[in-house]
Amino acid sequence: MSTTHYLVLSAILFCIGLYGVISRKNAVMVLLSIEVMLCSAGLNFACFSTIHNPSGQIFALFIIVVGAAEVACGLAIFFLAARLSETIDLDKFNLLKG
Amino acid sequence: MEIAFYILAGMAVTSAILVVSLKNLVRAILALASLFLSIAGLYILLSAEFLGLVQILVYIGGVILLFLFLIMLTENLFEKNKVNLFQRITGVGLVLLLFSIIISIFMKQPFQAIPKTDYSIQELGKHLLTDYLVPFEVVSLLLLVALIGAIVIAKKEENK
Amino acid sequence: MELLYNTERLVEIIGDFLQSCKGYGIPEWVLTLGGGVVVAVIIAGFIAVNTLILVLAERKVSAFIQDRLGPMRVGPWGCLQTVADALKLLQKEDITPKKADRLIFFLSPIIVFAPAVMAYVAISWSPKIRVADINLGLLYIFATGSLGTLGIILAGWSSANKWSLLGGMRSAAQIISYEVALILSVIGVIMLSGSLNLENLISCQKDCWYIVYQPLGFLLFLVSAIAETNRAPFDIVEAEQELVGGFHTEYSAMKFAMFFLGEYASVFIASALCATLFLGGWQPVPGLPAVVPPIIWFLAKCYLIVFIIMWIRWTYPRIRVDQLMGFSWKFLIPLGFLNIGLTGFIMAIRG
Repeated sequence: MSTTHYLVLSAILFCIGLYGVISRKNAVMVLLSIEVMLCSAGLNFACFSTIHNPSGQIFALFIIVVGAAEVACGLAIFFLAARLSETIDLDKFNLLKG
Repeated sequence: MEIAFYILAGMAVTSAILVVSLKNLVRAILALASLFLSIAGLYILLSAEFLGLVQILVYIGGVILLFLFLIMLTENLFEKNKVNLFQRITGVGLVLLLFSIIISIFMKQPFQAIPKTDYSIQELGKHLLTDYLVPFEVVSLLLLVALIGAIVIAKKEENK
Repeated sequence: MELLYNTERLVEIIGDFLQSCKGYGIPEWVLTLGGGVVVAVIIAGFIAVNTLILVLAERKVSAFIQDRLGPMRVGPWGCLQTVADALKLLQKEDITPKKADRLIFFLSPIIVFAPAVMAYVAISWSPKIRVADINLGLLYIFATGSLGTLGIILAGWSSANKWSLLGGMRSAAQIISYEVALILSVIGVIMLSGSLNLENLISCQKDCWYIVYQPLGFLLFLVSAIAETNRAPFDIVEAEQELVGGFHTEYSAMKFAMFFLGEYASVFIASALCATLFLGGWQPVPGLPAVVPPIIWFLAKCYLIVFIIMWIRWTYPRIRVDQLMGFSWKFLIPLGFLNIGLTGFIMAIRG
């Protein structure tokens, strides 16, 4: 096994996540896709930590924490939006558009 | 080891594709859970056992449960209109561009075999509380802020 | 007695057999896979038999506490009652509600049951009997525990039934709250032993069980483990009087049986973990000679904790939803932090 295997895998995952962020309209779906991207970043860190030092693993831990915090806040916002406007279609959030 | 990697990688890619393509929100979340599980397996394969188990504990035990909890609270979260074709094509184009860039960078790098490492959690803990003390504290603060923020945002306003 | 010593020998023989197979040119992954299948079948069999025993014990204990006789008709003293119940369950029609999400409705009992089997892998039954010596065994068991709850919530959602949905939501809220208390309660033990390996944790308790050093941790663990396994008085997830049957209202036949197996499997895991962390695992009481085989000690301790859990179930009334959340966040979690602080303080003083 070489690092390239893992790096290519994480690149594939990142690209899939990015596609989700671009193509989906539902805000929760976008959040799910961002989680996919975060996962791939963590995989990269863990992969490099095997060659260098444990710092990579520690940063992957931080990514997990940040991901959890992001989901908590994001879901709270979407919940509020769903209650106020009855949809969480990202294209419909255009009240500021004038 | 090789077989385990390819099985887990296949599982990860399949579930990632399912996450971004499924219409049903709950099924997409279930696919995300399977992605988290396979990523945790890959972490364990990279001998980062602590990371893998924390991934399961926090992501599946926390994040996925939060998603499901929210979906049960309101029906409004489900997607009602179709996916925009223009958006989809742009997405595929951009993603392919990015992917080719990343791969071309990888092609210039030499293949590097993964050495057998074994960082114990004692070692990780020492690093966390010495070299990375400031980021660690900042992250804990971030969690606290997220906790309070989520409660403040989602709380019903009473005096109106 | 002889039989149990032979059990330990049998485990060795299976291990030796798998080792010797390597010499005959069988690829290693076939052996790993074969060994895994054998272990999974053994564990699933143990869970099934154990559930039969535990259900009978539960009914007998409840009868004893309520001054009744309990099941008496099938077999001597009704001891085959649960076997009859299991046979009846197997014959029932498997119903899927019309509006249910079929795939998830089908998957959720499996998601509940499979992690329960996974958790048994890490348990150390005796010095010789254990499936895998996982370095982070404690964390592994908690991780499998959090996997299983996913199935309960999905079952609640996919049934397309109001009561099930309410049960699933309650489960999500309850499990997120009590998981924190559960993990906080064992940190004291981890600090004392400096390890997450169950084997190390047991050998650290050679002279004195951790229940002596960590009485508060033990109580916190027991209470939050009862809540994590959705048992009364914390069983608001399936509260019959309020929610019909909670998340498993719509389930019947084998799928329902899987939830049942999963519940009892996790109850047993919780008590095995409790015995390992606080009661010295398979070791005899300090000072006693090792006459009785270790696995008997371990099982005796497990069933003692199971009995205490049942005792609590049939003694206390169910608590309300808001009380439940408050109990975790305002009472158990602060106490957990207090326990960690105290442990650290005392450890620092004593050096």
